[in-house]
Amino acid sequence: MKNANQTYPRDLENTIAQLELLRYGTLSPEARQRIWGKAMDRAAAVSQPRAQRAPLLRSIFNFKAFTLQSFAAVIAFVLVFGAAGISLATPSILPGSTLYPAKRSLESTWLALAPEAQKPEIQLRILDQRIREMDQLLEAQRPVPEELIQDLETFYTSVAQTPETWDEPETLQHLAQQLTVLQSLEDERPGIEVSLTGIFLASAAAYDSLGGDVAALHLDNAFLTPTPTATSTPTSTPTATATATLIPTPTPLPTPTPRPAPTAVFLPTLPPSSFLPEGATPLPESEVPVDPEHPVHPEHPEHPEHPEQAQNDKEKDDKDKDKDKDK
Amino acid sequence: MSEQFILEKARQGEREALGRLYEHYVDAVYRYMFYRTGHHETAEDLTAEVFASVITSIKSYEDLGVPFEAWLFRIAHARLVDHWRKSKHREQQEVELSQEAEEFFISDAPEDQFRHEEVLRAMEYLTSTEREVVVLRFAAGLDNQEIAQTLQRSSNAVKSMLHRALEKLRRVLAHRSAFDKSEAGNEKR
Repeated sequence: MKNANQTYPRDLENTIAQLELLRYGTLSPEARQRIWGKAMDRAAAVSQPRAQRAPLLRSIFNFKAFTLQSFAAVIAFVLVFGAAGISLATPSILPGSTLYPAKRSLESTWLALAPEAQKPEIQLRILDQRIREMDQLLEAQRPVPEELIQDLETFYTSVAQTPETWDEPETLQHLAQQLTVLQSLEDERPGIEVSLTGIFLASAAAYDSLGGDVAALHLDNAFLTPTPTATSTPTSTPTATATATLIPTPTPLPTPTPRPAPTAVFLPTLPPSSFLPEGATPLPESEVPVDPEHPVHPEHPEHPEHPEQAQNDKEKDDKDKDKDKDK
Repeated sequence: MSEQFILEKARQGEREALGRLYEHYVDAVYRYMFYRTGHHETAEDLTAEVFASVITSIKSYEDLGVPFEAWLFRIAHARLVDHWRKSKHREQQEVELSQEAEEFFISDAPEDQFRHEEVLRAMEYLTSTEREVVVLRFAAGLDNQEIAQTLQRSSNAVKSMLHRALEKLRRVLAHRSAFDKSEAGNEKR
């Protein structure tokens, strides 16, 4: 076998070197002999004239035997490995397929019947399936159902809400891989119709809640880059609104535990004072800068945008009072 | 003896020439089947089926722009698809490293074993097409042109698929390394 030399970008060299391991090894002489023997037997069977092949009845009998064996094997497989085996072995059953509800149902059964200790791991593996399904749908240029996106977001949110129930190192590793894959989905298909931002932020929030450092993953995602205004400028009022708009469909997250360097993008519902650094005090009411687009008139708060209109109303009221006095 | 000469002899039904072709390509075909099915015995059976097809149909092979290697892997690809269709098995995401398979693949260096398992786990994150291209490229040793001929796609399409797959693997593997390092650091503390 020739060596197919080819040049690759420098940053892929390590990956290539690792993939080269797939070309290691040769079959043992016994295995070679065995495979050659099977190949010759099959070739001889195919070359036989039709009349010399197994009679039809025998073929049917063999077919039945095969079916029974297959059925028994499937039952054994399910008993031994649970529904996970079927579900995980069927990555090509995608949303929209008639078998898809059955696949999801099997997953739910598997999860429900699993011992408590194994549930987090199982849930993460099921989530891997959802991500693969999304990847395959995108690759086939098929629409990604909203439910699939919701499922992913809901799961990550639940991790973020109950970090104590997750085995940290395992979950962190798994979540980091999923974040990486989600990022690559977006990188590979710029301008894809489905927005992964919500999933991304939810998964990053989950990662964050378990003590992971998303920045260390170097994902180059604009939504995951903490904005300096959110953490270090106590006098800048727009931080709260700017942060809130980063999440298209905000999901309620638990009250965040204080961290030395909070990543503001994961905390969409925090009040502005939450972004103040430790020790800083918020500005007093009177010093709150006026929004130039919606100024509040100090004497006419009911007409914030048209103080002259308020003045007219006041004059009209005074005239009405005078008329009443005249009467 | 050139491959062209051996091919010509094999087409005439010479068993020795067929044997030489088999010896030359059996490892690559087996590796392809193993990494695609994830199962040692299935890979062995499918490899035998591929060579049975070669033996019975090599008379009809003519190098009309498709080299023998691409023709061989077209057969392998077709057998694989057939296997999934017939047996109702879907593609496996995971590769089973049974004892026989470990003996087949891995050098004695534990570092290689670790990296081999690591790359297999990372490959679980690839789509079916991406894995096909990666396996043809790295396990079977085909170049982009031959992969394109095998899968009947354009070279550019193969190149872009391969790049996408490599980039995905790089990200997964890079992160795993970083994580392992941080874990090792924690243990030291």
